[in-house]
Amino acid sequence: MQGVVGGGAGAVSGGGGSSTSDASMSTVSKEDNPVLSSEDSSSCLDESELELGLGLSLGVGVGACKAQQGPRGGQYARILTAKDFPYVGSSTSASVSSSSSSSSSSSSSSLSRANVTAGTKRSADSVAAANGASQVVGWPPIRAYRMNSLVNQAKLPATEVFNSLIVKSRNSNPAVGKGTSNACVNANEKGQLRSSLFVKVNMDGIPIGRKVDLSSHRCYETLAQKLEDMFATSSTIMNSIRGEEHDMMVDAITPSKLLDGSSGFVLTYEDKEGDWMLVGDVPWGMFINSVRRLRIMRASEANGLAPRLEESNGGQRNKPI
Amino acid sequence: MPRMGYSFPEEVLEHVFSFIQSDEDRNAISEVCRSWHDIERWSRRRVFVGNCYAISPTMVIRRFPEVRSVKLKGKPHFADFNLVPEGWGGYVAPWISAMASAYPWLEEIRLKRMVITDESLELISKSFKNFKVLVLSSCEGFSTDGLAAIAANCRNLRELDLGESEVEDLSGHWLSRFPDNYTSMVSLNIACLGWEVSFSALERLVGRCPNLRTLRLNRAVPLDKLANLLCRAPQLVELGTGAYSSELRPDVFSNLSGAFSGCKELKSLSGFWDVVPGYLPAVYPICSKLKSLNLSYATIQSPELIKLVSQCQNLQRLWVLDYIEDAGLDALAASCKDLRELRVFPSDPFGQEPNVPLTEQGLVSVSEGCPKLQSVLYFCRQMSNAALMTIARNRPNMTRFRLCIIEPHTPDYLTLQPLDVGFGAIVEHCKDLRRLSLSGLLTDRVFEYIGTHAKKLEMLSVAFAGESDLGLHHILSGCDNLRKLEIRDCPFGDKALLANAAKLETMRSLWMSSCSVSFGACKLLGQKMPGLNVEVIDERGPPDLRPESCPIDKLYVYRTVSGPRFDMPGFVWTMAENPALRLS
Repeated sequence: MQGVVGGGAGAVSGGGGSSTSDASMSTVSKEDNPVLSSEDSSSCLDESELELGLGLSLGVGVGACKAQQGPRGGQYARILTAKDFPYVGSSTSASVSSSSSSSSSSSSSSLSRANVTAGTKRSADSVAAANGASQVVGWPPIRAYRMNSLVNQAKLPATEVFNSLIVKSRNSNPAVGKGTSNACVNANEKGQLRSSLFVKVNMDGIPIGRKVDLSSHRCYETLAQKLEDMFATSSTIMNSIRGEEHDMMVDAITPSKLLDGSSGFVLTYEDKEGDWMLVGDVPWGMFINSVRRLRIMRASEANGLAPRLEESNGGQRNKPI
Repeated sequence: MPRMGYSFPEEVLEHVFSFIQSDEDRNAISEVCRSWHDIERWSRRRVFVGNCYAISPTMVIRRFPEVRSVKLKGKPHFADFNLVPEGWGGYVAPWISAMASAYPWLEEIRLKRMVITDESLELISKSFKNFKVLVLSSCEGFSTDGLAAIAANCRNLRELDLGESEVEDLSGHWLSRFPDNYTSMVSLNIACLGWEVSFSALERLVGRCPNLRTLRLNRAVPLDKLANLLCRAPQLVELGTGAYSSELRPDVFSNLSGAFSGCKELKSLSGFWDVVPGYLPAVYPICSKLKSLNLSYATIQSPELIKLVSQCQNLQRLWVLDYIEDAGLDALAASCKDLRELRVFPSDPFGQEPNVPLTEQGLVSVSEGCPKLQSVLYFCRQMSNAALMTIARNRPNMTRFRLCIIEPHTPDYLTLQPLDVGFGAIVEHCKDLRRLSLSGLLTDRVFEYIGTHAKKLEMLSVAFAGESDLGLHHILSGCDNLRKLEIRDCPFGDKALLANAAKLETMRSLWMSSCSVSFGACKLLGQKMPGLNVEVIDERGPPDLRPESCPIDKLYVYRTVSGPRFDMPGFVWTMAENPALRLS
């Protein structure tokens, strides 16, 4: 893997032609395929940085990016290449950039996860760590549809009990299918099958719903905080665009405003039976097992939590004959 | 229309063109001359829009006024894995309302990863008198009420396929809305529905549709009712069972077995949720005719799987869980010489240790034993360069190769080296490779191989791989036929992206998430490339509140002729020439 671009001028074109069999990058003069000439580039692109060879230094201003999620930005040094790791397996520490999907006490594969991806500070683990989940979002790449079926047929010791529960409850409950990405049993306790548990969240007054991964939370507080962050962003942005007055929370929110109702909104959920309940009354594990979706409701509508609510599609379900 | 003295009359040309179905050929025809362009556009009946935001419905309708069949795709592929936040887009409503007035004779709508509402479904059911085919693949936003409208109003419906869509289940009665004199169903797929549908309505429907060839039931249909359905539809070619479990009772078994035996045309089986192994032999009578078998929800152990699969000598497609084990794949390789496609899914994707003896060896066996194998999706926990090289040499006819080693950054377990040379062998030997997904420990070298050899590659998925921008540069500068590129968690930044900006206009789309692309680079790209929509997706808030060099969360770039879209939610920004458009 060689290929040092001689002299800075000109950009490298995309598409055919410029790559040769020894994978060097040739400079392309402006006539060929003018993409971005060096004069046009912003400060992000320094002419000399188009030398993509070994031991390239980034040189791009890294700045102190304050990101909410995990370490980011401040630690760019060089882009490390294979030459820095003559023997990938020999590296000692599974460093910060290594994947988080194995636990810290993982097996021999941790040896290999050297620092090859040191260049990425936004690695999977920082995302996962920020989510409070020990799993990487969307990895392994299995569709939610399939994941749910998997969880519900778990080969856990409790499987037989579990399967018979499904059979028994089939007459009175929906068979577990895709629905709103619900997991019937919280297999998390066994530490074995963990899946994402995305449920829909709608907030009164905001037309577009969101989804939240319940499996990345362990208690109501963090969930409420996450929801407040999620919808505070949407509402502030929408306010600034529309410039209208909205009956929503736009100021900074302390953690339990959603839970104690002091924000003018209450957090409710629809359970497996189709009833709407106030979030926070039952133990977390029980909540996880029965929640189908969430709704951030105006407090004025939540009195006594009447079973019939202004849902666009009603709350009751008709049993077929 | 001006006509040259020597040319054929329009009608003759139109007749000739009617034999040309492929879009590529039709596009070529339309470039010959103006009159051919006009004749072609009036005679085009099928339109496929691979990215619903690449063009507006108005433009499509203006160019092709007599379309009968439309296929649209919305969200990027990574939406399947929850990487695209809810509310991103993919709304089909503008298309439906435009087509409702422009295409009264529309017959077919096929959607993938789009959001469709009940209102749209109702509009479809009332606007197109000859509506025949509705396929909703991985869609969402609608309920059984919308389905009821379709059932009630579409007298000529042939195909209703809900794919793996997310349907709000309000009532199982929607199925009863098919009128008693409705008999034209050919294909019905309701496997994704979580709740029960009215079984009596289903039975009656199946009984009165003599042309029914495909029936995919949902899990809620119990096994003891399956025999009944099969007896009413012995002409079925494709069947998806419901839950395949019941107390073991001889009468249920013999009914089932008899019913299966009566289905002489059955070529494809799926479903098999909650399998009770004792009932598997009921399908043995039809195994030898099967071409497609989807056992990927069936938690059956290897010995039963082997018994089943060894009887399916004509099998062309198998989807299965890793319970099949290496031993089962050996048996597959020995028995199913016509196999074209294999997908092996993980039964315990989040477990730290392997739970079943399924390794790279199983895939190697199948690559050796099945000369027609061309499409592979394989989840496993270990791989070696040697195995990949063997597979590559065995199967140069491979066209789709997707390998998912479950733990990111896993090296060759024998040598602890990266898997660069293994994947390099795949792209070097498999000259017709169109789709590739990488995994395991990979340096920039693998991208060098891909850029050099994978000249027919159209779709590439990359995760947790590479070391520098050189990797991305190899892909973008080398893969001449690349259409879709999706990348997550790789250390690719601004340079290769900006240096290959023109390439992006030759592709359908590029997705990059959790990489190192800065906001400044995105702005630059958006300003310089008016033919692209450069969408920054960031749930942390507006990217211009942070320094320009700060990496953004997710980037989705796609070519378009209709400019920035206007249905974006608050966490998506399009980088455009006109900064005022940015927050629209």
